[in-house]
Amino acid sequence: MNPLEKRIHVRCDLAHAFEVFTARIDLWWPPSHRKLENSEMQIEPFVGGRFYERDASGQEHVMGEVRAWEAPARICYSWRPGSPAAPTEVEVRFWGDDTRDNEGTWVHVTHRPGPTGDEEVYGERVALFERAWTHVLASYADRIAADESA
Amino acid sequence: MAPPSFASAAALDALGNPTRREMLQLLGDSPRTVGELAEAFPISRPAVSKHLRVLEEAGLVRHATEGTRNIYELDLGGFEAARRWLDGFWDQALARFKLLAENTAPGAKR
Repeated sequence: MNPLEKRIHVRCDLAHAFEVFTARIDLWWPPSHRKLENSEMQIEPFVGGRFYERDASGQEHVMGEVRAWEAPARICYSWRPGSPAAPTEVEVRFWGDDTRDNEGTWVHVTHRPGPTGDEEVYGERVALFERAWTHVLASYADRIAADESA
Repeated sequence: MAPPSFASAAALDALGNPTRREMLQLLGDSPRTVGELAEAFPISRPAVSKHLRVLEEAGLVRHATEGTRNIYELDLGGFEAARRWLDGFWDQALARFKLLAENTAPGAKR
């Protein structure tokens, strides 16, 4: 429950939005959220491809793995935000805007805890982590509700 | 007091360890003493204490002392900070993405 969701409208067509998000990720991914300095960031465009950065010396840091690649409609990848942080899953969906001025593209990001492609590493612990996250968010929601009614 | 971005990165890093994630899950069920946590894991009591210290420094758990016992419970503030960090990240990243996509669109108007 309660994944982090973001939706944004961009004034360009679907194919271009998808291409910029994926092939040109290095140009928009904030430099403040990288592990390596002056790195180049890349998502390999196939299931099992790496989501990684590489610096000028050739050092690489893998942040995740591609779980789904359905150009130009949808991608899904695992991501460890923070150095050895727990794996999370990001799903990005793109669709042409047919509701407003009938041009442009909607981009919808869903960021949730697991599941990831690391079952062989974490096994059932990923499931445990997911349950913990769910539990914590539920407690948090309860607390907000309690604060509001107080 | 560490700035929020630092605190939440620490929370995300603390979550990177599977034993610590299991500890959080147990503590999510109910507060526990160090001894109770040590019984639940095949690791030494000092190792349990060490994990708890990492979790506490990351703001994910807190403890209360009752007599000679330390009782640990989840500290929701740390999870809130981690979520805010991610939330802020996506706002910043998507704004940059939008700018780039719109300015490089073939035949862009406006």
